[in-house]
Amino acid sequence: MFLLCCVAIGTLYALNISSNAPNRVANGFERKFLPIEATIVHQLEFTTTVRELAGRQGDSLFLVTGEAGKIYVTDATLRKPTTILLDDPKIENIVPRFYTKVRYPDVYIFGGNATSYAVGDLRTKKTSKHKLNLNGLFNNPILMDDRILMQITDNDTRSARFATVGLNGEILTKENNLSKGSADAGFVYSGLLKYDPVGNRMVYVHFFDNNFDVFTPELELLYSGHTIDTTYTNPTKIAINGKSVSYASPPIRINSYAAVYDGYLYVSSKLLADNEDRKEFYINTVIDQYKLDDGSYVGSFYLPLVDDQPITQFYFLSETQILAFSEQNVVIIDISEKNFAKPNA
Amino acid sequence: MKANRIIVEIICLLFIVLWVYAGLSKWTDPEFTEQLNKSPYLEGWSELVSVALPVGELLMAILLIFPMTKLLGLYLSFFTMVLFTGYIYAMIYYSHYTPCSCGGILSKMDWNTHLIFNLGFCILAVVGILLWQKPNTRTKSQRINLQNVEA
Repeated sequence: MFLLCCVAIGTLYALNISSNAPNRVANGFERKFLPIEATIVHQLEFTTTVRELAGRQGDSLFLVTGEAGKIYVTDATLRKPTTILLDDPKIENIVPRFYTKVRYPDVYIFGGNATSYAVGDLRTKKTSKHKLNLNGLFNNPILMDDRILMQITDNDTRSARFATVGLNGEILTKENNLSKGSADAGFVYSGLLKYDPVGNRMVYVHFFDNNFDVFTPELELLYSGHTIDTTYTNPTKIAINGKSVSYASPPIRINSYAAVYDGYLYVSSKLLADNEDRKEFYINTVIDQYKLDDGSYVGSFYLPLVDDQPITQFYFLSETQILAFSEQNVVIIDISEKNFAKPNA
Repeated sequence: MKANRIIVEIICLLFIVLWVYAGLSKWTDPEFTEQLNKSPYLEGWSELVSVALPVGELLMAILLIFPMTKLLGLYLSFFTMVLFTGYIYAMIYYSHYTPCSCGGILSKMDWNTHLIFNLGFCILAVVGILLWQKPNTRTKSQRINLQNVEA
């Protein structure tokens, strides 16, 4: 039996070294590390994975897990959260892929596969249903003052394009050649959309290549930037089977998450730099900082793991505080102010 | 002992059900190769695995039926379960991408549940092998047959 175990382990080892896992070979770029120290100062554990920071109001932070309509309210000390459970708006297909946006006292719940969205009142817990007139699925909704900016995958063309949608559910504007790719259902050039209130601009960070696109809320491209790694071509392959689209091979994600704060873009990268210590890379989450005015690289710093797990999402609460998620854990990380790069006055 | 023999037979029966179900599920699934292509560890071996795996599972089920080949079937089942368990462990803790699980009723399990399920069957295989190797477990005719073979 021992021999069989050895043969099994040997087989698994052979499979591992023959796989296309990232960071096996040098990635061809270097990082410049900023002298920033990051320390976890508060930690809160949930019983399930925390999904997103839905919004802020004063000191209050509104967090969401996998249950649509259930909002947890805490603050930057991560005190024991109070729970608000909204009335069920009874929207079909709102789960599992849903997004929650809080603009106190209102909360908007969008389901990427749903044809309606819900608006709730956090004080009364009442909800109302509102129709969306879209011919497809959507993701990355960003709630603006009087409209929603989102990425819609058209049912007919299977192309993912940005559009602004009114709160009445009607499409207001569509992009003009902003997005790459076509007929890929948004799989190949999937990414994360963020809003920079300082420059009033949108930032779309690609997951599978080193591009990020900066454009106006009116969907006019300002410029396309690059993260510091050298993944210029997107190796992601898709398989189209009738009407369904899926990944044909394991996609290699190079940009895991992104945040925008005070005119800067912060990207958590999955790629090891050539001048980086491998052990340090795997016991931390590396964040690369870029100036949004011109897309230039500023430097990098580490955020610590949370109970040996990497950080999956992070949000800047202030210049020196980051709210981060790692599976079921929510943490507040203090960043030292020493030599912290600031935008030009 | 009769109890040991019954336990071994139950273990073999469980493995027969498992291998027949898993083997037929994979054999009849037209998207099985496509699913293997999505695994970071099996991507380059999908064509070979898509044939060898279901054939191997059905073969193990057959080996477990006959007393003369039962022990071989148990050893192969143990080896296969260790391989599967190690694969699931690697997918959960080391993989850069985790596709959905596949395999009929097993697809209803998440990866962690599947890991525990496989560990359970590893232990069953070990118990079956150890009990089968006890002399009193086999029937008198099986012992006589084995003695003849050894002679």
